[in-house]
Amino acid sequence: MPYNTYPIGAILFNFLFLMVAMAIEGYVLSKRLKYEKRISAFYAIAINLFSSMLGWLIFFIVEPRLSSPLRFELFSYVFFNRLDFSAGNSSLVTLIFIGLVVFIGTFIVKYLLLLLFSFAMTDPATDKKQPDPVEPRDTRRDYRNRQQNTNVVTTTLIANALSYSAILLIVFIRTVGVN
Amino acid sequence: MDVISQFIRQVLKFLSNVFQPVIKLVSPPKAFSWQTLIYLSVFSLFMSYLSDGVPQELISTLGWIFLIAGTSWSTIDHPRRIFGMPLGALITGALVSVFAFGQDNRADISSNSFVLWPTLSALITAVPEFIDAGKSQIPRPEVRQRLIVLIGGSLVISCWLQFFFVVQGWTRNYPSLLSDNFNNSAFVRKTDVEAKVPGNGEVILNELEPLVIQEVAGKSWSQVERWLSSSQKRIQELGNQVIALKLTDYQEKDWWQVESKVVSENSGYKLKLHSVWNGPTADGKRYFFTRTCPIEPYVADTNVLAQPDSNQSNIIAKINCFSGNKNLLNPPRSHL
Repeated sequence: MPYNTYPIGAILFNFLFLMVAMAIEGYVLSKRLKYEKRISAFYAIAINLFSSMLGWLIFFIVEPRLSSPLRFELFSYVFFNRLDFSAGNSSLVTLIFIGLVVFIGTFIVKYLLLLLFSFAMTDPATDKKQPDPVEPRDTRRDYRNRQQNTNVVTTTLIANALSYSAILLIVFIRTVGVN
Repeated sequence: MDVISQFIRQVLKFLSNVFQPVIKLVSPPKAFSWQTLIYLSVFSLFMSYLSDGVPQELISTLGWIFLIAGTSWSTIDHPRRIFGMPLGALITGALVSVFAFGQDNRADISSNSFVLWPTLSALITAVPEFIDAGKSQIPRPEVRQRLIVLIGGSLVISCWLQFFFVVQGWTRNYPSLLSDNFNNSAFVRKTDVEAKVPGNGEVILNELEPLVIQEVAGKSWSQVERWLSSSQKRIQELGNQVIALKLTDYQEKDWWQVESKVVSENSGYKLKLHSVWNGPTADGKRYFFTRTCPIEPYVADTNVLAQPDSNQSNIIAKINCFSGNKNLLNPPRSHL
């Protein structure tokens, strides 16, 4: 079967967005969580690769189930670079809604991935040195843990917001450049 | 003579030097080696040709397993890395994805095989890191980092490949999109060869035309005039039938629609049939293809139509459809 369409641009854009997001998030992680440069770079790369993969996966699952009007908007944008915001058209509202869902979704996913990878990075050998869980709970450490955790949440949120802003800026510049 | 024999000896020596590594590579050093596995796979291939049915399936499956095991074994000794993956893992990944996910026809490589290749190769690269001297182990943190990045990267590449095939599916199900220009698109490029495919718009008109002629031709003029007054609804109905019948293979059928228009002209009428594309376009406007059918009255032979009591019924309708650009593969379309 001959192939007649090549989504080169989509792939290159995804690559560019990944690079930008990794750079920004790596910087934010190292600044706020005081990780080593190499470690924070690893976390930034890993969470972006996996969240990007999850995003594609959700797209592949949702796309065949799109309604005809939504598919119309999708094709208009992908094939003809058109976003129709004319009066009586609800696509702007839909777009903002989808954008919001995607943003919150990636934030949650990236936070969970960060937890997962930091768990994957802990050495079983050093874990054994940790005090026995049966030991009476140290409320002060509990408090500190919780604070560290909120810090991770805020950092992920900031990192995600900054990288999304940068990507939106790129998209905006492109749109202005074309029209 | 001495010179010649010396020359021959030299040539033989040279040839043996050249073929020594090949012979060494091809001949198994011991019974249990990767060469044996490759030979077994070749043997299985040969045997599966001779048999058929279930035994053939069984033998060819065995052959694949021998081939995968043999290639992965052969590349363990001298790993040459490409994109952080040993060559052996890449080859083994390719073989596994073709073998396990090339379902429909083993000889044909399905899109799944391409999509899963990077991910499988990365996973195959990762496996040896978890096994040390036959015992399972957890690799060092640096190795773990490398593996996580490798697997994540290959997953993303798999997604890109999948997207490539998703886009192919789009243009297969919505071929009319291809007749438009993609120059503004940031995401998709197309090869221009496909732009001359006849649009489904023409297909609809070609099928609709005889149905409309059947409704009109040979009817008495008064009947036809009555039919024309309510023709819009009827033609749309016929159009929907045609679209449902002829465009079943295309998802784009939701975006095609038939419209018609009647214009009175001289003694008769002109019926215009439009197939309208309601889908996305480069300029955001709908477009349509047209076929014009003039309908004229003419006096039928009274001898044939033996109906002496009515003058009217002697006048029957003549219909003749044409489209000015019928011979073009991709007729210029008009905008609404």
